[in-house]
Amino acid sequence: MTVSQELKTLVAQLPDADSSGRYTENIDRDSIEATIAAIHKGGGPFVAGLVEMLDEPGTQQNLKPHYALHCLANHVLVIGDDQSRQDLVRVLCDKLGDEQLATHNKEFLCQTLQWSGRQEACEALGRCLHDEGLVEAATMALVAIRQGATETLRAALPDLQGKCRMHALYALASLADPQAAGDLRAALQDEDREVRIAGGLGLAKLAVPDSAPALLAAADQADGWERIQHSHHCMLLAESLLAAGESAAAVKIYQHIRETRDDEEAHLRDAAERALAEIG
Amino acid sequence: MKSQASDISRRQFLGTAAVGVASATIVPRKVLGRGETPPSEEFGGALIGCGGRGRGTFNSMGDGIRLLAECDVRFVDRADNKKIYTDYRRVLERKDIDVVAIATPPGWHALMSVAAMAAGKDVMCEKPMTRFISEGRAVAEAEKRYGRIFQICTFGRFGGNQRLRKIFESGLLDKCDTVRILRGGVKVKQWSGRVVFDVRAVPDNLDWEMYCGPAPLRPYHPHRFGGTHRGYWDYEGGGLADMANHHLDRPAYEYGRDLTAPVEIIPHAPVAHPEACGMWGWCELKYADGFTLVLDSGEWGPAYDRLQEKNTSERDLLNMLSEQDRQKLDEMPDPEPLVRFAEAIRTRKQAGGNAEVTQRVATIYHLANVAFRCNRPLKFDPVTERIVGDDEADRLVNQPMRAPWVL
Repeated sequence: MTVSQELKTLVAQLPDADSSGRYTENIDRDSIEATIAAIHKGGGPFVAGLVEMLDEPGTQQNLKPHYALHCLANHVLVIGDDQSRQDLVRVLCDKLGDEQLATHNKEFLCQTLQWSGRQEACEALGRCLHDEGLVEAATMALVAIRQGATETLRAALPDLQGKCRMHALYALASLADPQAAGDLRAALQDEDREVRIAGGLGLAKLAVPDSAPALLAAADQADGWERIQHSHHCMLLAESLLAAGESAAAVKIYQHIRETRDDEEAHLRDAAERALAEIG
Repeated sequence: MKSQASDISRRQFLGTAAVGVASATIVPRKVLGRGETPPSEEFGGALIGCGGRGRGTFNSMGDGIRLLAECDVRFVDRADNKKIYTDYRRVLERKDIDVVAIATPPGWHALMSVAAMAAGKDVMCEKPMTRFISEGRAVAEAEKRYGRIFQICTFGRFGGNQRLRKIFESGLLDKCDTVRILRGGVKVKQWSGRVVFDVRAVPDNLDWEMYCGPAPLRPYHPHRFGGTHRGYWDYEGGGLADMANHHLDRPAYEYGRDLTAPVEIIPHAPVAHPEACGMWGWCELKYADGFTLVLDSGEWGPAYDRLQEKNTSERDLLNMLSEQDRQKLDEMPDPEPLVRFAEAIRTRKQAGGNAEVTQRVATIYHLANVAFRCNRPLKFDPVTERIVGDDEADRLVNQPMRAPWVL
């Protein structure tokens, strides 16, 4: 697809960087907004054109289409035109599947979907979860979007390995997906420390009483950083359980912490003691 | 919605559970733990983030703190994991470290503060405390949960007008039409990021992956590092995030804004760049009681002229009270003196610039930055600490982090 001359002319109207490479001088809000509104009128072909104009990060060639695409993604939110937002998202999702597009530009598309995408973007982002170069940006976008993200992440998880799996598990943990409880509990036994910690974080947020024995055992057995994190997650789990009305399960966690932590972890013992006193 | 409700319940629980911590007086943890050190003598300290403000942040903790560990992502070529570290997690594992000074770029502040307090350390954290709003709630909850001392390394409130605070705390003001305008001093242009830059090779002594931490792993260029990091949303939030804690800490204290947040935010700025912080004009932030705060950069666009400053002084506010109410005010107890960090870690009394009040100060400028970035007015709920009716703007209140760095 060829980028139209009209789009090139509009993009050229956006501000140039100042002599230090920054946007600090001659930044005319009205002119920028008028230009973006004009690009918006070009619809999907102009969105696709902006993607095609993207270049290497930091270059003069990349500056204006990069800024324009972000401004456009924000513009559709400012004017509250959801059809335009969906149209923009559809083009970005299509472009994520373009094998000719550089990884760094696809990362930017994920970032733009993080800004203005909704559930309709999850499927395309899900396909990026298998790509080590894109998994970070894709999982961050999915966590921001929330709606529909957990289904996408769970569907991808069985086929993911290494870095991609670790990122997907953290995303599921962040989103506190109840249907991922089994995967998160299994993660506690993983050979990778970061995956084990992701499992603990997710279980802590889920507030499932059955998780407590496994998480407490993991904390008891761990050393160093992992012990700090698992113990922290035990405390979070107890609070989540209390908030969910599961006070008996929370009390068991606090009692365990109080009775198993020695002077070197007196802050944990004291915290559990205070919580128990508060529960009464 | 369910998760927000759960968060509130947990916060309410922590809020009441922490009362005993704030008022109890106990000897330092070290003393109770091993009996090696008599009270009020010496604490083991660590500095995480040794460039820029690092030494100043450490020294602001006061006397009697022995520097046992220094940690910085630039120490790749000299780390021995005994005194010099590149990975803060190894520092926090040490049992002989009681207090930690954190002076990294702010994208790390909340993660490190929460982890440090979970490890039983007290924290002096360089401002800003956070990069986005929900991080601050996690820090405040950790402070209460673990009974730790947290102090932001900004001390404006310690010189605050206690009489002014007393008026606002008294509940005697029927309405509040105070307008406070803060003009300039926020280094907007100075801490703008580059939109054009040369990607460079990462220096041999720098752990760039660790530097980026919870932020996206961007191509390295020097302007993202070493002070000028302030110009990038990934790590901070421009001059506003850098400077506003200085300007707002005292007014937040004096005008009784420590337990609430603005509800309406109106920005005036050009559309922000997605990665580089840039120019803005002003922002109006209105509280539920009518108190209005205006941040006017004086660096972009016409000068702010929508409202005039009014009813800001002690005299103005006293004049709004009846004679009878002024008498009631005199009979009320004065606000408790604020406790310095050095005293707090010895007495276990909550520090004056603790995480809860700092969260409310930070929320002011984070909301302004969210409004600038979104280029639209916002509504905020001070109880749930979420933006209302704008899901996409709300994503900037609780931003995703790059694994494995998750709160």
